[in-house]
Amino acid sequence: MINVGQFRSRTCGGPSRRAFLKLGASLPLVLGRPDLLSAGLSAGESGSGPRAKSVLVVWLWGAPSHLDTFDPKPDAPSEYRGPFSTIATRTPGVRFTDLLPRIASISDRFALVRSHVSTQPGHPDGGTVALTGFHEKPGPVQPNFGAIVARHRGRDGDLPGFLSVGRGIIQDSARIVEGYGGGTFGKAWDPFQVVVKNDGSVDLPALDLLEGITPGRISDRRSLLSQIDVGRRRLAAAGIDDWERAYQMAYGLLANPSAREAFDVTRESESTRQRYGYTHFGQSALVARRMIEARVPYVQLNWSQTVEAITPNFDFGWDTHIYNFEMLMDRHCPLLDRVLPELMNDLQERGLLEETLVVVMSEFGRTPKINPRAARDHWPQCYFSLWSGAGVPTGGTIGESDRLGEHPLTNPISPLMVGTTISELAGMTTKDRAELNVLPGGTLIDELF
Amino acid sequence: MPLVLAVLVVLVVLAATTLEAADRQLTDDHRYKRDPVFLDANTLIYVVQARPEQLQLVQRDLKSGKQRPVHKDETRSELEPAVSPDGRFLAFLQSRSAASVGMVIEDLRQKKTAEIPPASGFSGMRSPAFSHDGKRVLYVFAEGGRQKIFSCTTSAGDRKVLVDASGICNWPSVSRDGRMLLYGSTRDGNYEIYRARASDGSGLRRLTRHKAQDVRPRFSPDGRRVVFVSNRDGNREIYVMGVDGSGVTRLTEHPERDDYPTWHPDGKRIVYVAERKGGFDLRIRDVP
Repeated sequence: MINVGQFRSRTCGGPSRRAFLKLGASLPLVLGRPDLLSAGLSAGESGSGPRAKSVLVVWLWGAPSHLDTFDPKPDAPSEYRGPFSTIATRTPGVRFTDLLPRIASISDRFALVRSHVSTQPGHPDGGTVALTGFHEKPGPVQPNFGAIVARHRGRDGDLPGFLSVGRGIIQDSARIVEGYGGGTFGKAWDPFQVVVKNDGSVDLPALDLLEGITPGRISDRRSLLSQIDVGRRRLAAAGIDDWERAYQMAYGLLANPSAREAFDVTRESESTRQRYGYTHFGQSALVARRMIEARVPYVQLNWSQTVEAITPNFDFGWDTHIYNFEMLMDRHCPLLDRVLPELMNDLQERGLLEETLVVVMSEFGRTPKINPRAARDHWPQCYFSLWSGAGVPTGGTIGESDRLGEHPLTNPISPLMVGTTISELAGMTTKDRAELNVLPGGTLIDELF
Repeated sequence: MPLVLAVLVVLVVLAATTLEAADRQLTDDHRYKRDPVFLDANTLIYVVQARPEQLQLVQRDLKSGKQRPVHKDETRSELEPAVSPDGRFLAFLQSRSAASVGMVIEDLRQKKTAEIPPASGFSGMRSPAFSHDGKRVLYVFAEGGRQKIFSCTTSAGDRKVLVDASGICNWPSVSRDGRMLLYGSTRDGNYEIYRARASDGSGLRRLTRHKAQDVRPRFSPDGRRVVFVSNRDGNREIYVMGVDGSGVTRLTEHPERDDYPTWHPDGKRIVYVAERKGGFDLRIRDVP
């Protein structure tokens, strides 16, 4: 089945101090004069092609504690700092908690932002802001950064332009993150969902559109057409008006062996699969790497492991309102510390990292002050991200949080800046964004250029 | 020359056999596992990720290798099992709703259960363990930002605080003679292992002193040694030491993680969870 959402949104998001300083860059748009945009404002306007042929967003759904991972505060009072020690990294002067030794050993390969600021403390709303740059309400919801990049690139081959790898559309216990997909572009620009199990088997829900059609039967065109008619009627009955693109994509995948093979991790060596680990997240990361190798423009790899299963029938992600320290120590961080370095190494060894932008991010951070349950709650006022590949300067930090990790001291960076920067590195100019009517007022994270 | 060669072959075979005896894999399904504990000398109970949303208690016969769910029709997650010294009671955590985890104490003989339900909102207990006489259950619960050690009867009554210190306390373990209590605590900054009187938590003594995490202490059946987990050598490995903290010896050494040790009732071996090649299996090894 194709998952379809209802999209409402508006564009808002007050300019941060940094955004205000950069307002000049978008002033022509504000004045209704996009023609005033001059060459040199955008890296993507240089004519040298995109620095990032592909973008891989590793989405740490649920919001990891920044203090217990990439922005520890060992000198903070005990009610803030948490139980973990810190370790040196490959980046001089930068320390992580001792939960992440392998990532610490490759810290010179990424830039660490420690000064993110968001405005929404809830998961679905916060997720939408983080993935689109704008609030959900009052609507309509803006397109996910992936939809923007995919639309800019246009269709090329049988693989989709925007893939979401994991265990389906991200959601909390109440509802989905509305900013998961096409937003104002329409559902035709939703991500193509790739569901991966911990044994590496892949489910492509969109192929349910063509129920009864298997690759082996595709050669029987008469049978195929009759099945497609059934599928068309079913979609029409379900009120899905934009069936054509979804059908084309599903058909393309079925009809093209090389496209199908891109999803098949059994083509990887056993040692490679073991290095990633036989977990949902590990095997999902391997599928994501294969998608990057196949030059899919935008892949969102969702944290997909129900790591502790402490909530019945629900993927709790990094949302550690209870057991924060136990879960990070026992499961979340060991898993991330295994998979992320492996993914980075793999991309680099295959020569893909130079032209692939990797961004590790989430919807917000967690309360610096330990809560009454000896865990941490939501904290959008300060959190982290990691950036690598596509020529971004690495081996340093961008922005600094205060002594308790509560607020940025320097360089407050908004989700809108994240989206603008991703799109820029993916080859979009200010003019391109204006023409698509996306990310208005967005400014760049200069340090990444 | 042929005789020398034959002797060498025999020695190699003997060495290999000895190594195999020292550390042997018990499971081979590679699914995520944790929290092994012995029900009796031949029966293990542990936690396996049965499906993405469920951690399941399973019981394994070590002789036959057969295993089955402890609670066949249970769909909620259950984890952190503990068994009373006489094998009569099984305590474990059970998920109820979003971030809401209760503790169940099951009387295996009389087939009845008692429970401490989670408090309202996000709430959960942790790390059940039995007193030496099997009459009380120790467990961990956080309130006011401090994670304390409590105890209750096997009918979940008479709940009282045993250890209330700053920071986070976890993993209580009571010596078989009932005199000593082990637990992990962050009272001095990071996770360290402490020993105290089991009766009231007094007489505190710090057993480890390391910048790394020293966690999950468990008394050996004879009460003379402590097995624990530490990342002091870079990744999670299993160590053993005396009850005074002396003679720390590393038991496992592997680039991947070794964790969740539990003593075999004979006190000569431990079972633990080994992450190998991206999968998770139980292993048993001798403790020198």
